Parts: sequence; C-alpha cells; structure tokens
Amino acid sequence: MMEREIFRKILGRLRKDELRPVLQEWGHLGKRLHEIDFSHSKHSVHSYVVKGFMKNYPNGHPDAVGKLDLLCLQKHSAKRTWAVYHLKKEQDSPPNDVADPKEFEQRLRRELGVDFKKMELCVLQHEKALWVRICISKGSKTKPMLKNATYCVHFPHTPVLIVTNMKAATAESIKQAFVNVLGYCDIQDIRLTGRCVKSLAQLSLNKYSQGSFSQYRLNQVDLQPLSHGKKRKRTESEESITDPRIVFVNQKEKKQRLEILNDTFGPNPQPTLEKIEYKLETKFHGNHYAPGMRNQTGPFHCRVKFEGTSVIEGIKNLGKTELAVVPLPDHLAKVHSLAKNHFVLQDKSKANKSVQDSQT
Amino acid sequence: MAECTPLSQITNTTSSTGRVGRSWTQRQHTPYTRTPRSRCLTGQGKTVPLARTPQAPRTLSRIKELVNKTWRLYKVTPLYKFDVGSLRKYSRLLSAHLDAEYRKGIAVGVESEVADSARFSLFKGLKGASGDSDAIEITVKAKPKSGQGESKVVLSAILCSVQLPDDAFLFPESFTFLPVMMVKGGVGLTKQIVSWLEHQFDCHITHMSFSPYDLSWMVAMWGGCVPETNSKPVEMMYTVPKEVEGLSRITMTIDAKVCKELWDSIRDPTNNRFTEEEEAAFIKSLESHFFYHFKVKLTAMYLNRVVTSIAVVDSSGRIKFYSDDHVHRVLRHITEVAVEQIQQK
Repeated sequence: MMEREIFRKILGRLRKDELRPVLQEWGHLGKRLHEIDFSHSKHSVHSYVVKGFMKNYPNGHPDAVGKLDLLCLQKHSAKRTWAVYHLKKEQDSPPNDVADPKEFEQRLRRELGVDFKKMELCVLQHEKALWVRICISKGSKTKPMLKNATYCVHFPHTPVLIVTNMKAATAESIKQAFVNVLGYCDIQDIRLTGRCVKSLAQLSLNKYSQGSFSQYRLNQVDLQPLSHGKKRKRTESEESITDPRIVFVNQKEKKQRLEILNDTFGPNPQPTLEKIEYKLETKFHGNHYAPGMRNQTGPFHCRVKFEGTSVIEGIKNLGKTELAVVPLPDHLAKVHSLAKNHFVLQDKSKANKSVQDSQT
Repeated sequence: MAECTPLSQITNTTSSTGRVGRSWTQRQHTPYTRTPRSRCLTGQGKTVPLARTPQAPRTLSRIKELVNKTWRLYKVTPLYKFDVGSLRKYSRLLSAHLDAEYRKGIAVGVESEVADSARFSLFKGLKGASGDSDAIEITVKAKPKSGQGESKVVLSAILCSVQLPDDAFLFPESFTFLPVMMVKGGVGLTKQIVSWLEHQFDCHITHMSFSPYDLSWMVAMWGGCVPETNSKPVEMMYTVPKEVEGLSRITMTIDAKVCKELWDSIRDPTNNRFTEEEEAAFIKSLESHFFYHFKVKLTAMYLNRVVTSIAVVDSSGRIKFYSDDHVHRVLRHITEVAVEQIQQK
C-alpha cells in the first residue's frame, strides 16, 4: 500500500534515538507505542510502527502523514536549503496576525482550497514559530507526492516567512495565500538563503541588533558600570609560551586588529550562513599588473562566492589570522546586519544611483 | 632572426621558430631554466612534415570520445619491453589476471558486474610528434552478475604521450615512454589494472596531482581560449587554510568575454611562447581586483580547481575536456607536467 511506503520513507529519515520522542509527539500510535521494542533493527521497528498505525486507523488518517513529516523535518531542518521572504504591509492597515496554529490552518485551508481541490495541509507550533506543510497534488485523482511538499516557517507578529522546496507551479498561489491570510499586501524575496532556520530568523528579525549591538539584545552590557569599583584587570596573553626570552613585537597591532574585529562582529557567536555570493560589475582594478586594461571602460563581470560551515565567522577569522586586511569593507564585514547573502557590487555613478534608489 | 608566426594563424604545426639559447632564459631562482615547450601556444617544436596532411575523419571522432567525461590522471614511468605488436597477448594476460583476482575473492561484493574481458588497442589521433609512441587504450568489459544482458564497458584507460620534450629520458630501445594515463572507471578495478601493469612492465604508476602553481599556469594559458560555441566562464576555486574556521572555499568566476580581453591585453602577440611574466600578470591582476573589493589576500590561499572553456582540472588529478579542438594542447601540457614530476622523483 502506498501509505506504508510513505511512512517508511519518512521514518527512514530519523535516527534510532529520535524515533521514540517523535512518535510520542505524533500521538497516532496511542497505547501501541509502548508495545514496540526499540532495540530491534530500524527496519523491524518501522514495520511495527506501520502495523500499529494500521490497527488504530484501518481506513487511514488524513493528517497523519503530514504531521509525521513535519515532525521529522523539525529535527532535520538543516538538510534543506531555506529562503527568506519578507511580507510588505501598507501603512495603517489593521493587523491580522495569527498566533494559534489551528486558526492559521483554517485560514490557510480556506485560501488554498480556492485554487487547489486536493491538498494536504498541516500546521504545528515549534519553538515560538508556526511550521506549515503544504502538499498539493497535480491532478484531481492522484495523491499528493511526498517530494512535492513545501514547508514554511512563520514567526507570529512578524513579517518574515522562511520557505523551502517551493515548486514553480504552485509558488505564486502559496505566496498569495500567505499574503491574504496574514493581511499584508505583497511578499518579496529578500535574497537570503541558508540551511539553519534559526540563523536565518535571527538575521532577518534582529537585523538592527547584530554585531556589537548583540550585547544589548542579550543583556551582556553592564547598565550601571559606576556602581561598583573597578576590578583589577587580568592581562591574558593568547600565547601560552612562558619563555621570557621570546618577545612579541607586534602585540600592539594584534590588539588593535582584534579590537576592530570585535567592534564590527561583536563578541557573541555569529549566525551561521553557508554561502555569500557577490556579483561584481565594477571596472577592472588589477591595472597595476595588466596595464593594457587601463583603457577599458566597461564593467569587468565576475562572481565571487564564499562558502563554508559558518561564513561570517570565517570572515572574522580571516581578519584574525591576517589573511584579510582590517578594517574589512562594509559589504563583507556587515553581512550580519544586511539580512541578505546575494549582493551586487557596482561602481558609484549617476546611472547606477537611479537604479539603487529605485531598489531601496 | 627567429621567424614568428602570429597567433591568428594557429595550425597544428608551424615551422619552428628556432629555440632560444639556454643562457638567455636562464634565471637563478625559478623552477624552469628554459621556458618549457608546452608553454608554446601554437604547438610547435619538432617539425612533423607528415602532419600537414589533413587527418582522416575517423581519428578525429576518437578524440571526441575523450570530451565531456571526467578522467583521473596517473603518471607512468617508462614501460620495459612493451611491444605494440603483442597487444592481443597482453589482452589475454590482463583478462586472466582480472579473472584470477575475482576468484581470489578480492573483488567480491564491491561491484555488481564481473569484469569479463580486457582489450588492448591502439588509440589513434593522440600522437603529438613522430617521436611519440602510439597511444594505447585498455577497455575492460563486464557482464552483469545476473548473467543476462550485454557486457558493457566498465573501465577505459588511455596511455598516451603528446609531444615529449627532447631532453626527457634518454632510454634504450626496449623502453616505451607513455607518461600520461587517463582512467575512467571504478577504483578497485583501476587498482588491479595498475598493479598488473606495474608487474608486467616493471614500471611505477602513481596518481598525478597538481600544485597550485601548476593550476595557475593552466588557467593563465587557457583562460583566453574561448571557442565560438559553448564558452564557459573561467573559474578559480581556492581552499582556505585550516586555521580559518568556518570558511572553507572562495570561488572566483569570471565572464568568458572579459577574461579574453584581459588575456589579450597581457599577451605579447609577437611571441608564441607563454612566458612566466604573462602568467604572473594574469593571476596577480585578478587577485588584485579581488583584493580591491574584499581586502582578502587570495595569494595566501591554495588554488584547488580551475575551470576554463576548454578543460576543468583539479588538484587531485581529475580532468574533463570540453572542446575537442583543444584536447591536444591540454594533453601536451599534461605530458610535460607528468615528465617533470617523474624526473623529480
């Protein structure tokens, strides 16, 4: 039966130690959950789960697949690439935000039901956000396919929507449905992508309190510095070499460099981004080595990509290890406050100024 | 006075411009005392009068088989007593060896196919000059384990040498020098074939890897070759040193047209050889353009992978050709690098 395979596929994504808590939260097994022995092989545990579910619901349950899929995704959200959208509102329009998952589901079902006759919709609340799974079937008779499911994360009372796996055919309808349900007038892709949902949320929601301002957001700043006496400062040296014959000549420059980096990036861990892309459309600036290019007036088209596990942290470390000259340019150093990771760098000229003005 | 052919009249061979005297280009602190011939863009060196005749169409089509596939590169020391006439004998011996390895239980469970037959054949069209030996192709076919179905090619290896430099090994007649081996196939099977070749011909076969310096030469030489159709942007991928936690690679992709403009502005059109200054100018100008925008020193990173319109090469020795017109040029340079690496050992 198709449902058995779908269940196996979803359960296969979980690790062995995650099976029990997820199934407990799922709740569709009821008392049969205690009958399952989790020390057996994964394959046999999955068979028990499917059998138990079939006994409880011989005719199936419409929301079971969706809920299980969403619970698995919450555990492994880093496996997918997410894109962030920003909802735009006309000024002075009444708020229509939703915080209750059931109400959100009802509203979405009404909106999407207009365009699509057959779809699976599931809304769950997880860590202060509403996670939505929308699975739309192409024809009226075919069942919705697992790989076509679109997943969205919405933080209530904020204009931010984080989406993954949106298919081109249904993208417009889904976007419009969210705009209508939440009472906004438009939705825009802010060119911010990544794998960690938490970091993406941090970058888009806390746009103006990143870098050194994160200290205020996280209550790390002493609000009354004069109320107690100064403690004696302990001079810590990074190098643990205690040989007195070794003298570090560049301590001052090092300290200055670290101070500048601390000012720009702040002392707290940076939000993780996997990739930052730049499209350069400026004039060629390597003329010192290639004098023949001095007469070129057109832009030198090239693209630059920084990739890694946490690129913003990496850029800070480039400055620390002297592989980059500090102070770093703004479009590299201030990525944490710009809420996007695809940039276009152009020369400042009158023609470009009008383009930039129209974009902001 | 040396005759110089302008670049616009590139053909497969031209008359030799006469080699520059050794003392003129001898520099003390460079790895090359003489600009190697593979830096030569027009493919000259030994005059090959016979090659002026147009190549038969079937040889061209064999080169097409090399294009758009990823090959692993190996370097091969000279083969002792390799006889081009005994190819059938070698095919039999290799098939028997593969069969024996399978029966020993070494290849069990790894591949779903059982390597059935190996065949040695001549691969025409890859010779660069008359001094080169003919290229040899080894094809291994396998039948699927279920016993049904046709046997298909599981591994394909090509041993070749394209325009060996003159002062490469002076070896007696019993040695055949085919320094470059390109392999496409499974790792286990490749190992078996390599061990058989080493045993049979008393040679030494190792992976070929390219240093960032080699890769920067490749991108500098070929960055300006933009074919009419199917031009790809020139890409250089750098890996970041391990001390920088969080950032692992930086990739710079340059549009093909502007790259060609840069290349043309650096090149001296009267000189057919690509010099060290031109290579340095190309790479340094791109890195300084990068530095202007990002204040990041690319010179401190390791160049790992290079993409041009005619080939993709990465530091672990994997290569993919995009254009059949330029396969010769690329292989000429690879032969040169292979010979250098063998000589250094």
